[in-house]
Amino acid sequence: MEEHIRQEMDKGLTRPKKILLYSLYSLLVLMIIFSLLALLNLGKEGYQQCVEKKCEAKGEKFCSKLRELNTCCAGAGGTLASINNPPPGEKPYTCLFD
Amino acid sequence: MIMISVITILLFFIYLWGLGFSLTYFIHLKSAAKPDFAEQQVMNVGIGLGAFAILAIIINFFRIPLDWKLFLLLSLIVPIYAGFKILQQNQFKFPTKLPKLALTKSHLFALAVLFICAVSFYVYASGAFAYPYLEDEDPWGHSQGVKYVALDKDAYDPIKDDSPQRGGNSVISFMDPYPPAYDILLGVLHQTSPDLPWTMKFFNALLISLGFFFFYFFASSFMQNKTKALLATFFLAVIPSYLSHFIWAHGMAITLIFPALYVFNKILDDNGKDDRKKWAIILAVMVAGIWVTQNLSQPIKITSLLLIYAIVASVVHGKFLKYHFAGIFGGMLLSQFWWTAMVYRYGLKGFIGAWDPVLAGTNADGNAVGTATEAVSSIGPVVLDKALTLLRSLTNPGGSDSRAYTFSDFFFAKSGNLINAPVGIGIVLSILALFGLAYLIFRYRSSLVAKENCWRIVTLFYLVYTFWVVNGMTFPISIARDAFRSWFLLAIPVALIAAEGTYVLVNTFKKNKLLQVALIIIIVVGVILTSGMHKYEANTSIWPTSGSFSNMQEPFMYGELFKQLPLNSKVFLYAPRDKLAIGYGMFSCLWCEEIIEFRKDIIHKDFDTFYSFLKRNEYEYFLINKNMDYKDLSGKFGEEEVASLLPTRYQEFLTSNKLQPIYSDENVILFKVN
Repeated sequence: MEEHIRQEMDKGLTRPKKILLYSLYSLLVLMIIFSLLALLNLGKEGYQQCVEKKCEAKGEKFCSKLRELNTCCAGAGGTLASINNPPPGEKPYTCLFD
Repeated sequence: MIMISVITILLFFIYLWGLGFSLTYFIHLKSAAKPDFAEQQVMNVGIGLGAFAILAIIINFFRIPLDWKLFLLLSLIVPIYAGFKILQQNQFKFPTKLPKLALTKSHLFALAVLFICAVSFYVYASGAFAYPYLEDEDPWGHSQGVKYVALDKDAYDPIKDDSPQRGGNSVISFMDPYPPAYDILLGVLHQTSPDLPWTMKFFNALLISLGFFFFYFFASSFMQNKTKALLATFFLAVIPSYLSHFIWAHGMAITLIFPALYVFNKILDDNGKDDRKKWAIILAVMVAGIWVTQNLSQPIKITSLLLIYAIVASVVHGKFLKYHFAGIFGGMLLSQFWWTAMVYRYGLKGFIGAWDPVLAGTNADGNAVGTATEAVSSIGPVVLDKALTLLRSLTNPGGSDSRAYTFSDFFFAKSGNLINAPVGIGIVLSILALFGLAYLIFRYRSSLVAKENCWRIVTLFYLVYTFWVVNGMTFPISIARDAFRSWFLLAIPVALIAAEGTYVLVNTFKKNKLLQVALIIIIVVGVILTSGMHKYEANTSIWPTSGSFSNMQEPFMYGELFKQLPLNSKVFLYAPRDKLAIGYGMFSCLWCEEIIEFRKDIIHKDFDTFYSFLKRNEYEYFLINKNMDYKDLSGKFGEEEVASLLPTRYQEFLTSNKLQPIYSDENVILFKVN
């Protein structure tokens, strides 16, 4: 069976098959690149960027919600913790990283 | 009560099996290659699920009552006809001997899948019944639709409210314009099973568990290998990110993928042209069933998966698979019995607004913003703007719990997880999937596009698509809606690829059977410990419920309280939370005009008016909850007004002899209405 497939492949791939195969490999490579780029989302900076994006998109009230802060923090690889007596104007939560 | 539930379980299987049998009967009748007996019966149930969904929508479209007796009749016509034909062939002699039963490898595999389904059902059901309430918010919303279908036998919202403020949202949360097939299925079952929470919890768990059976027979025809299919089924069942027992329409939509893909494979089989046409019709029924089960986001993603398969298989087979495409687009067309009716009912703008207010050009208050305002001044740019907004809406990865995911979110399964759309794969399963992925790419290379490897390249495309969708907020480009509600889709290619990886790994030691067995045991135990245990813990823990309650204990106390009352007693809650009464197995007609009108000014109604309202609407019980009433009514009437009037109202209730307190604590009082 496998020999038969190999022989068939040796004859050369049709153009649609080539396009399909190259598309798959390109997408897989793109996924790897995007995954590597996603490392930039990690850490304190990633957390700040995420919160800022949310504030810009939907306002201060929205981006101060516990759930939104939590998703940003988890997305940056951290754990959200509450702060006792936060400084005035500061959010009562912080994102902790190992 | 128990007897009635047993009857409803039987009815559930009769509806689905009967409809599936009816659809496939005329194909199997003439076909030389019939599937295995067990496969045929199980897949009849799966196909029947899709058939039920679209049939219910068509029945509702013609305003025929959604009555369980009608579904029973419709599901039995063809099976009875088939039985009659068999008897006729045998000259009306019943068989006197039992057919010989031979236990084959296929049967053993089917039994193993049955075991997986049974264990999954046990986990899901024991988790769902671990607390007396419905979890979070969605299931309470579904309980309204289930009750409405059960009583009114209709699935159009009773009150059409297309005001921009409601954005097309109806009185009943998941009905109209939300496609109601899930609520109809549970509502029809509730007609013969009076305990609503039991019906919802039990049949939701059963549906998801049956999905593993459907998956096995799909995977078996897809991978052309029963061992790999069994492995993949086991992996899917233990992946934490595959469906939890959360009660929502997504569970049914996702479950429907497998019978749809199974039918898809049937068209690919080298049958006659006639058979392919008939299977294409069944594919259309399945796709239509998916499109009327959930509000667009899952149907779009599932249809994308089907289209990927159709396109890839067309290229690999070197011919345009017209029956597959016809089935997919035919199904979308068939689902217009719901969608076109909704556009007609709400108008295009109202309909779009229900799905995405931004797309309709309105804000939450229903005022025109952005694109709609611009529409007045110029048509050309607005068309482009609308197209871009539509694209943004279709690919918006956001959603209540969508976020960027890290490596550890995928690699390490966690017991503390999201209850509706859990995340994570698990260490051993991730390693197996990565090994399988590397094997597929480096072993097959260009031969991936050979006909024999069609399933392999389709699975790789599925992996790329679903991984990208899940990472909609992680990657710079998003390709579909609702990233976090896509983890269950990612679990499918992961299970298939991990099964391939495991199969290859184990077969590397073909010459040493003992080593093979040891390896299988290590993998199974490893997968259970690093994925299955977390899934078990997440699904059997106590889940939180509606934010309406004052504290964590209150929903349990409500459960105890309502357990003392006869099922479906009419209970009026002073706070506008009728869905809580319904979700606990009681009843309050939240869709009745008089109740909606009365609630609009409830705080100003004196006791006599209030009491006559209760009596007129035959309420038997009345419940006040200080915290809930204050919170909910303040939002409507203002804090000051409520602070001044609520104590007066409470005083009236407490001093009246027409209301008899039968339970009270510092926050809650339940009255019997005399």
